[in-house]
Amino acid sequence: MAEGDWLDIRGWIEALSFAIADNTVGMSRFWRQKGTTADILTELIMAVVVFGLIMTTMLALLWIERKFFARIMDRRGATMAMRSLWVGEGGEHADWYDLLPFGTGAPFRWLNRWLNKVAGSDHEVESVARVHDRSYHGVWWMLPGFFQNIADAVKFLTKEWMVPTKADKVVFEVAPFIIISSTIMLFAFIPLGPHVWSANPDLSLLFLMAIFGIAPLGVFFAGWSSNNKYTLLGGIRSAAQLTAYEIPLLVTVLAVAVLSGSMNIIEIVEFQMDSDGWNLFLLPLGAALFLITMIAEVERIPFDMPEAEAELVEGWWTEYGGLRWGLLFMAEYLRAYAACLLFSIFFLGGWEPFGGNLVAQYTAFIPGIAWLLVKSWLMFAVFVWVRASLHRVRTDQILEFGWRWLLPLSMVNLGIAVWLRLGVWQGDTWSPLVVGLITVIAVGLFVLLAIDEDPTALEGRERPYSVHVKAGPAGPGTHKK
Amino acid sequence: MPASLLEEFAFALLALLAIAGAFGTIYAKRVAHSMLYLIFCFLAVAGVFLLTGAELLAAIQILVYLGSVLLVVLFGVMLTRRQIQEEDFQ
Repeated sequence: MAEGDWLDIRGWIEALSFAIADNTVGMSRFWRQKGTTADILTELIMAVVVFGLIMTTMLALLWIERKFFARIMDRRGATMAMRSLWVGEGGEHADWYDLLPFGTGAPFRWLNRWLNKVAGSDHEVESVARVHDRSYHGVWWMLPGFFQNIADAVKFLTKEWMVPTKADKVVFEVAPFIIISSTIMLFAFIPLGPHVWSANPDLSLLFLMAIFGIAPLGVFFAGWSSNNKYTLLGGIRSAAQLTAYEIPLLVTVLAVAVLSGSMNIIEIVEFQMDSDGWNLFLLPLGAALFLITMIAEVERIPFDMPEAEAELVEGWWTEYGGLRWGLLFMAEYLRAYAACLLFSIFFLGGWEPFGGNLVAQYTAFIPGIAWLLVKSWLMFAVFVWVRASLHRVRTDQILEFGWRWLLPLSMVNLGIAVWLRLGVWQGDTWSPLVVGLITVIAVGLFVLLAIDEDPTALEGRERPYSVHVKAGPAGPGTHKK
Repeated sequence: MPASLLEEFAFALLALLAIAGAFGTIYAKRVAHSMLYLIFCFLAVAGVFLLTGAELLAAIQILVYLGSVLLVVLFGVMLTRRQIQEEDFQ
């Protein structure tokens, strides 16, 4: 388990670099530097491999966002694009299954016939055909809608780059560099598997969190230098929000480090594997806090005040266009991806299979990176679910929630982690009693809170900066009066 | 020893960046510009810490100074502005 799986990418690349160094530097008069050359070569190739893996697997995120969001909101176009796999174009059936050899597609033909009977009614064929023009091209292995990302990229590439006349030009150009470079640097410290990582210092957790905090400065500079009141407001909101939520985030991550007894991310995952308990079941409060603070940190929808479209045009990146905008957008998704990967690593056991040791021996042929990617994509589906379910909250509500609730709760969570580590942990594995008890308490509390929610409780509650009119501040239930 | 030569080159680069950042912080005309120079100064100092092997100090330097202290300075910049559109700024 802890020693890793068969997909030893790092080991292969090390062997390759040593072979290359042996046959080039090792045969020249610089033979003393053979080891250094091989090490540098290994690090460079691993950096490229990790970067390529991240950038290609990130495309799935955009696809999940489109598909899942459309499914939840019951939007016709994107939802129907998936359905085009079984309902044919213009009433004709998609017959990709007939291309399979030896009649192995027969079950799909039966499934297709059945699906057409229950879901392929005639009055929807027209819209389906319209969707087909865009997404289904008669090739079944192209995921419908998946390659729209590439079309988007081409669009960004071909657009003109404009700088506002009164913008602070140098800072306007430098700000995207700060944001994008610090975002990509995050992935140097995120391991994708036991053998797929590009840097692994002892304090990788600390480095990761340190680099995570650089981007807000870039966001502020982007908003300030555009010389536009909307971007400036977006920049200020972003700075306030990210400062407020970074402290609970850091304390929550500290609790994970305390529980695992290590500041190294790979060791945190291996601790979860060896101790037979994912941190999700030991620190459910921490998992909830991490999820909330991460959604705020990556500025996704209940907490996307810095780019609130309804009031600030597009927030701090209003004035950016073309490829700069595309790259900033990519950085935003990369941060969300990092958040999903980190949630999977810290709380869902990283690259441990679902079910842990019980199923690990039967799933040994699946490399760890596949588990981690599936977990983080599922986490991103949760992000999209949150985005579709909740509405945007006000800035003062965001800050109040962060400082008044999340910060004390993160301290409580840290206390729980310290107690678990010092009082309960016996140095072997977590007893199922502890894990089960904590999980039952957490689920019970969650159900209690969900049942006990009083829609009139917020009514008339005084908030900083709320507008006091005769009817009282707006809140849930006020429309009934 | 090329390895140490590389280190010396990196140190020279980082030291120059830190000094240039410090001078830029002082001589910049706008407060936001001096903050930008201060970012590079802090990053270069963190790089020097890394070169000397003080990894914890480097991480803390970025986490505390870049992440938090500079954001507080940033609030100072925001709250002391006279007007939003800097049209009459020289």
